[in-house]
Amino acid sequence: MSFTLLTARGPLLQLLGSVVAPAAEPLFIRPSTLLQLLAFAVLLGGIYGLVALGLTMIFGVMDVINFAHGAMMVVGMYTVWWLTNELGLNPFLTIPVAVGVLFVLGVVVHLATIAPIIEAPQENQLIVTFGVLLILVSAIEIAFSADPQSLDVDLGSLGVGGVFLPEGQLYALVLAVFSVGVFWVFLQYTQTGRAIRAAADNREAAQYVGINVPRIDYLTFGLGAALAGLAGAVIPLFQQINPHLGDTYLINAFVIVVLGGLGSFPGALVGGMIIGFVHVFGQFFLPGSGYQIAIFLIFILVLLLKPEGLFGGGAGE
Amino acid sequence: MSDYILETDGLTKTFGNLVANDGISLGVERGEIHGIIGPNGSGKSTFFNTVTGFYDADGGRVFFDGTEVTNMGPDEIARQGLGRTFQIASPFADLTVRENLLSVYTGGLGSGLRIPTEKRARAQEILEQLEIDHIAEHEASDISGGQQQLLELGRILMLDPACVMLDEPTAGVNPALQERILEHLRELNATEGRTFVIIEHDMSVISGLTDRVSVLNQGQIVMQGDFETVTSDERVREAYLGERTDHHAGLEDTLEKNTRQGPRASAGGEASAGTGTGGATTSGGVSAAAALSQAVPEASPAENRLVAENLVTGYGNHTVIEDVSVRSHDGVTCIFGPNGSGKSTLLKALVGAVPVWSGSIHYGETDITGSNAAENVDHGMVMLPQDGGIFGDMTVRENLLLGGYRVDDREVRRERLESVLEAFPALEDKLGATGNSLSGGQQMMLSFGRAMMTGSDLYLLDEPSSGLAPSLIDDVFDMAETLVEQGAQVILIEQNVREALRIANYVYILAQGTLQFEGPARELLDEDELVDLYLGLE
Repeated sequence: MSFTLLTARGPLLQLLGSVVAPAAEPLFIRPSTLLQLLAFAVLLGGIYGLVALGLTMIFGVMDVINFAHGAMMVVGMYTVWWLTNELGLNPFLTIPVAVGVLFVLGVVVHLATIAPIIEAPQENQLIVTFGVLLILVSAIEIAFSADPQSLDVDLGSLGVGGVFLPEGQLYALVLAVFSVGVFWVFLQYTQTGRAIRAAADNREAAQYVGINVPRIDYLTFGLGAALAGLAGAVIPLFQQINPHLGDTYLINAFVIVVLGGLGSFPGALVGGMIIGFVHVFGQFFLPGSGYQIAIFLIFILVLLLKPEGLFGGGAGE
Repeated sequence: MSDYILETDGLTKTFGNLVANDGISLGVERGEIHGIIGPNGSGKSTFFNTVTGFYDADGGRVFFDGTEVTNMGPDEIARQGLGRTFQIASPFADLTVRENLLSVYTGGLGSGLRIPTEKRARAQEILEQLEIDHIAEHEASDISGGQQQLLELGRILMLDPACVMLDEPTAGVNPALQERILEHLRELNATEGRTFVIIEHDMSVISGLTDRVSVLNQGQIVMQGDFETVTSDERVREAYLGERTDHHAGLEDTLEKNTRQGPRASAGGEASAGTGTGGATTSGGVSAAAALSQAVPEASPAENRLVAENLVTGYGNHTVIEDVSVRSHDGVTCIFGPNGSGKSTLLKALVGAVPVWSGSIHYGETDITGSNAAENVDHGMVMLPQDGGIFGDMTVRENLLLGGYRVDDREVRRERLESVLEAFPALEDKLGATGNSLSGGQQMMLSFGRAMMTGSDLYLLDEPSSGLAPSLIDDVFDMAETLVEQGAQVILIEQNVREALRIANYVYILAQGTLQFEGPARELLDEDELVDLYLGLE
């Protein structure tokens, strides 16, 4: 798996470069810079939260580790990019389309790969999802080449009280946080949402209250993919995309899932925020890819000190 | 001093707080066949694993043939001449039967390079002796379970062990092959003087094979002796059937309970604290019963709501239930049987959680043979899995609401929730607490409450009293009786036979996957007969 950390890093520095002098005095931050960093941290935290939530949901309900999750994000990115650049649609209108496309893709992937081997050992499913990852990324490379792409839309910047925020970044932030909220309400307060949590909690018992668990599997895979798609869909609004961009997000999403507690839904969101902040502030203060080292250090610390994760509790197998 | 080939002295093995083997001192005489029996979880397999070095002992010592072998590695112990087999035969699947035998390490680095002629001859001899020479060139994964057991025995014999410990060698083996395995064991014992220690759930195997039997219960040796002495001993019956209750008091108790309305929600004492007077609880129970019976969809008047005919099922290619027919009767229908008899599998097959291989299941007029557990909730039957099966990370309220998952009408769901809370006032204070934070008794209440939310008229209970403190076991049976008072039929699986008989109206006894007895509970008064049926000796 190739790391494309530099690509992910470049745009942030571009964004910040116009406002911030190159870090000559790295410990001193102007208030406006701090606000920008905060905004970007919340945005990235929201995106990480969406990715990790989908990942942890699929794991919780089906015990499947979905390696294709990052590739599904990439499909979301390219759906938005293609519809905007080729068909000239408003990028914000293409985001719901991307979410829908990914839901269908998730259901199809589950139908074709996971459902037939749901009773098989976990490593079989892991290998299959890895295969799906390769297929999806290769298909995108074949169709759109491996070159970085960006939206042909200039969204401009929004200035509030002397702080300038790129608008694309701002909208992405609002969308990501809003979606997390909506999805949270769905999981918490609807019978279907409860059924998903019940299947994740005790798969055997779920059938005894009348929950059709195989159908919940489809729904979960579809929704998990849709969340990955949504996270991917907002990314072109503020940075260049390429077919391998999903890898970094996937790896950090694994860290988040472990940090928050395997299969824990609130853990995924809180963990997403934490890693978002570490990512953005680490990128600002640490040289090179130091932030990624910081993220892995957190990962190792969690494994050593609280292996069940922040929200893991005493439950689980 | 008697001639013990294998002797343990205060052998202890713990897992966290669980004391699996609690100071076991046991001597196996040279040349005997020694049976080890005991209910599930009594520590039999742990004893084997600790003796043969698969677990490190936490206390005590093991002697084999005059040498201390405590905490030696399993390979070292095997080379000393103490062999063992596993409950699930585990031959090297990709090697042929003959290669499996030849793979056994018989000493010296050189044995890894060239297989000596004597070793080949020995393998051939064992193949013929165990009558598996006709499948010698088959891959081990292709032969039947019984043949795999024989192969495993043969592989151990390659080491020429003085003593072999066998962990359920006939489990899941068809009767014909089972008899052959036993024949071979007797012969190896008689002609070659090998000692055997054998764990078995099948009492007919134990009775026909062993010289002496040790009974384990809760990690301790309850008694030793020949099979007849052991099975007529009260302590052994207690281990298998649960503690004896005073029969006269028991009867009065039962009558008193039957006249009382609603369950005694006394778990942990929170209940009475939460609701004030006991009177309130009682009246609550009545109205709860009324409300629930209104909510119940048209209870079918038939005496047998669930009728299962000639069921056959199992896992993989392992048959667990062989041609069993059961029906639900008015009141409580109990299914008893020793561990490994297939009770839980039968219940899961009835509710649709395990697919049926052949036979039919009808619920009222409906054929539900192919229905899954979720669909059967719609038909009006609900299962309470072992340990309650609650959703531990979700709140009590969410657990109960999920019980009404198939109820589309919000209003009905709300009403049922209220009636359940009236029936189990202890849950009302805990609505916002997660399932995991509840005590064992409260979790069982939640499981009952959640099942009542489905509005079913047949409840299948899988050992609801297991893992509960003895003081709560009565409460569980009270809850089952409450369901009956509300017009439901109950099918109950229980280890605690003596207690469960108090509320049973109809009884099935299952052993080795087949029915040994069925009839009204009152026909089961003679306990000797019960023991014989229970242990599958008839």
